[in-house]
Amino acid sequence: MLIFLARPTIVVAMLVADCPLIVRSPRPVLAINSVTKSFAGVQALKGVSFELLEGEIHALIGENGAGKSTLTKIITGAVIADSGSIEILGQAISHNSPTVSRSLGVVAIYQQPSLFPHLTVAENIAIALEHDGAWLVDWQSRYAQSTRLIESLGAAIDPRRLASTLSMAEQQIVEIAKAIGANAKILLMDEPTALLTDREVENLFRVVRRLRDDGVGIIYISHRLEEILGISDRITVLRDGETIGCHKANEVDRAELIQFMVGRSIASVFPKREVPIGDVALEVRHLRNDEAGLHDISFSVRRGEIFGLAGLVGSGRTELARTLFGLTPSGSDILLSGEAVRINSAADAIRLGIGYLPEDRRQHGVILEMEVATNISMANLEAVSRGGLLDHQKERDLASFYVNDLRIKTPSIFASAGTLSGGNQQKVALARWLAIHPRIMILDEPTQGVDVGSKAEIHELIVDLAERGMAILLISSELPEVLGMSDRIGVMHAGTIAGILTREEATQTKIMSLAFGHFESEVSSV
Amino acid sequence: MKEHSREASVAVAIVLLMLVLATLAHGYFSRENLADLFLANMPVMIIALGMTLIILTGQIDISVGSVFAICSVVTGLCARGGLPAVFGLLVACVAGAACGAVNGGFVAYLRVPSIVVTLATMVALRDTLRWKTQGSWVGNLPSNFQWFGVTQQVYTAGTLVMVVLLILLFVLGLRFLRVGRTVFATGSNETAAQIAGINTKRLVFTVFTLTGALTGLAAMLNSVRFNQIPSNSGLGLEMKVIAAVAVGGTAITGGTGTILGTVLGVGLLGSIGTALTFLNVSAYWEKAIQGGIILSAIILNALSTHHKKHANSINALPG
Repeated sequence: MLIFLARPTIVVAMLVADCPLIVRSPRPVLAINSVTKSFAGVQALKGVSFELLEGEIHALIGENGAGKSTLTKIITGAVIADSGSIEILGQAISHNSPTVSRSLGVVAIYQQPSLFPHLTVAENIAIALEHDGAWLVDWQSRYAQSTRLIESLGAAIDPRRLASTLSMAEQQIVEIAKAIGANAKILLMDEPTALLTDREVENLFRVVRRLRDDGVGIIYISHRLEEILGISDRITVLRDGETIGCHKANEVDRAELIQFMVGRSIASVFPKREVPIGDVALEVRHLRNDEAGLHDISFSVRRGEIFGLAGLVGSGRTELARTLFGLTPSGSDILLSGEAVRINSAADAIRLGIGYLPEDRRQHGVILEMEVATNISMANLEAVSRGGLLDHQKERDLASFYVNDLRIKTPSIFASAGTLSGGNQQKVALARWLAIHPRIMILDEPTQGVDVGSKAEIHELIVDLAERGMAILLISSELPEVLGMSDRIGVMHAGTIAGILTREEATQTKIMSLAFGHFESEVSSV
Repeated sequence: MKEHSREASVAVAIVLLMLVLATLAHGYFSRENLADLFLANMPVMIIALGMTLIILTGQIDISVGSVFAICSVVTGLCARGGLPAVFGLLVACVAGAACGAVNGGFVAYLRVPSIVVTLATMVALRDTLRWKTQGSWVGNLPSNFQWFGVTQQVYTAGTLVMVVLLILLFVLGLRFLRVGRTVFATGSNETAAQIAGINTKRLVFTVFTLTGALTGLAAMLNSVRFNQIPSNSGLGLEMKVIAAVAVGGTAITGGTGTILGTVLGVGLLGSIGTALTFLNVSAYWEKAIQGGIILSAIILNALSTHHKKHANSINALPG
């Protein structure tokens, strides 16, 4: 009976609290009200509300950084909300934690299954379910239990197989079997199909629909809009840490969803200036790099030009940067000022005048334990040497120059980089690359995790560098930043450049459309 | 300067020990005893210089004891074969460097964890040697082998000068050579160092090879103290060396540490054994006291790392 009611085809919609609710609907299994959360002063969630019914597949979508992962962490109890309320199965949860949420039937499944590879399917399931400490293992009942759970999903996997021999899709199914065995009432699926083939996706969806029909509430997170429209009953859109809307899946289309996701106005002003654009500094033609998952990438960046690189997380932007910088060499030619070169190591790239500010500042950008001065000189030790030996006076001069030039706030050039604020660490990382006097500068998320003041300074600096004739490749997940700073924007999707937009024609909607896999020809119609 | 606090505390410990010895054990500071003490610790000191570099880059080498044994035997065979001492020294260094290069090659280019590689070479080299020599010592050495054919005093003085020069070379090299800088960068954060254009693989290979060569040098200098060469020399040497480096404040995880600290570490751990004898304390206490010193050094390191991590984590939250 319940199953029958939950079917979206026979429900009547009405609007309650700006969300179409299902009449005579089953009870909500999860209700989140005006939840807020900030990290180190950055507001990740600014009052998010979300409701999940039993027997419902409810999709959660939004751009990178919209707050999806913070919200899921709040549901699983991995992160505690600053304010707002959470109700699970009608029970107000005052202190959520992974233990509390699990005991109430919340189970999360991620893109990358977390099975123990050297244990069998049955053991993996048993570890998740057996908590009372029996001394002896009843293998027969373990196998029977696994078989029963997996069959209840309409799948067949031998419980004696090692998890490492399972395909990604089979691993996902075992994860789901674990969830059912744990009597999951709320199943959180975060990009479960990202690594699956189309046929595997179809199988997974059959399993998911069956679960839904059994009354489980499913939160489904994905970047694949077609999938979401195909499988979910309702869709909630998050943007900049706020709930933008909740829609029935059969009442919206792709274009509308993209519009909802990006529909913000550009709040901040960017210091973009028109500077003379010079000759082509960097060009690649049909670049392919199997190791990095890149194919058929063609674009060029001119001197003085800021070429933005947009795309979803995982679309291959960082991989492209690492290929150009020689960290994941492609073995194919890259044209620098028209001259074909091979870049097989970072040292090659540096010698050819390419700088690379990596994405993860704390892991890759600066060496936290080392002094500001030694961090700055690191990529160009020749410049601070005399007769093959390091000249510490030269090094201090170089460091002082950049500390003044970039207004790096540090107690001294001998302070270890780890003691500086995020924005100042990023400036130290930038200084290191400016010290090699690059012709081409690759900036990967240069303002991520940086405070507003430093952010503006870094933007100003980027424009300065372009004005001095540097060719700049700017990777950013922040659409306003890409739009505000770039002369042209390449949008990546699934390991290639799906389209290149000029500053004039680029809009958030067009970028997102390309990023979600619509190719250039279709963009004009959006 | 607070980053030298570790060296200072080891130095204080040494001074305290010396004060106790000066008041209670007068014979300790006799010229003979000091010379003996120096010679006994000289191999550890020389190898510890290389080991400091290895540990600074975030690696470890537990095969130095076995390499030491091989180089000692090679030295003896060269001498018995009538090769001049200088040549024997060269052969020992090359043999040591070759062993180090094998270790370094596996670690740097094949990405095998250094503890696994050097555990394997430690066992393999020592047992190959045992099988080849059948446990017999290298005797029948020419008369000009011991003390290089000069007097013991001249040998001791010469070795002392050589060790001091080596220490200076390492101190200055880490400070003024570009490769010295890359050692710290690689040990602190290998990925970040690679992005900064540092060839971390070549560096790791080089420090292992260099340590091998130093082990060869130490083996040669040590062998000439005797008129026979045991085929099982250097047993447990790796632990003495690593302990000295750790006590000297080099973080076992890499990235921080100084040669000065290592020198003091060798001094402290190396002087305790004889000191106990002079103080009429049972020699059985030696290992216990050394263990205590190593443990407190490691606890100090753990505490200071924890402290630093905590200070850094203030800025670590996502934005």
